[in-house]
Amino acid sequence: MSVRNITKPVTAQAASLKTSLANELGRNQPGDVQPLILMEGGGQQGSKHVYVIWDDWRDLSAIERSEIIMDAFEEVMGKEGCLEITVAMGLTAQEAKRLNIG
Amino acid sequence: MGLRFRVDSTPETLQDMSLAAEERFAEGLDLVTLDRHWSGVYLLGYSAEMNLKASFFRLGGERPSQQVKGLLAPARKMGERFFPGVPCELYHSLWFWCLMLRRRRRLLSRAPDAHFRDSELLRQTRRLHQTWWVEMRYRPAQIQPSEAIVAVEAASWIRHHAVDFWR
Repeated sequence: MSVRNITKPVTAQAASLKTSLANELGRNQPGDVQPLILMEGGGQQGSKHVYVIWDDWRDLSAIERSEIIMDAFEEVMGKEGCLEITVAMGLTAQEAKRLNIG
Repeated sequence: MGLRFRVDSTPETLQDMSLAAEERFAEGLDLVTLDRHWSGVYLLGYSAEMNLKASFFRLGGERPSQQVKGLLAPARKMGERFFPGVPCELYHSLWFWCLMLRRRRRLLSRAPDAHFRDSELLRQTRRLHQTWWVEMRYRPAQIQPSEAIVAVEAASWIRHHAVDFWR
């Protein structure tokens, strides 16, 4: 028996954002240019919270943003690597300011 | 100010989810008691889904104030890794959340039978999963009273142990 996932079609916008974000993660350079990637945790319990501040999220729902972040992290860190992420939130700069993140 | 705006102006948190689970349970039970079985079961299933989900996240160390939306996609990745053949049904599958909860308990070395019987978690979730799925809302009511009883029993058991699941 073989098992494979049925993946839903990815929109062009989602694919483009994922690629940009994965490239940014691969570069891993500090700075204030969006997308701004913030990470907390990853200590003994190993769980990490990831926040990506990016105004390009504007037209996407919170779930879509979160799925794109996880797909980008999976591309860069692999399936095992991204398992320690337990929170993935995409926020515009305004939303991040409101939540006091960043 | 409209209801949607009022509710959506504050982000949904884990605490909201647990409170909503309690409210939906009470409302579901009321409806079943009034012989509105289909609608009652629909709310009872939601209650169980929220209890399983919230327990899974609390077990992972998330606080009641944590926003829910950022938790779902990481959980799905974990599900794809450990249970590739189990669909998460747009994050609503009772079976998916039950397996995820058990997996996390095992990863955290929680004793399987410390506060509840692991086999009972599987049994009750399976029973409810056979009776409730999120898309049942699009179907006309076609439920036997005995099936509503199963839903009441299973959702009650899950609700009763919701805190035990993450202890």
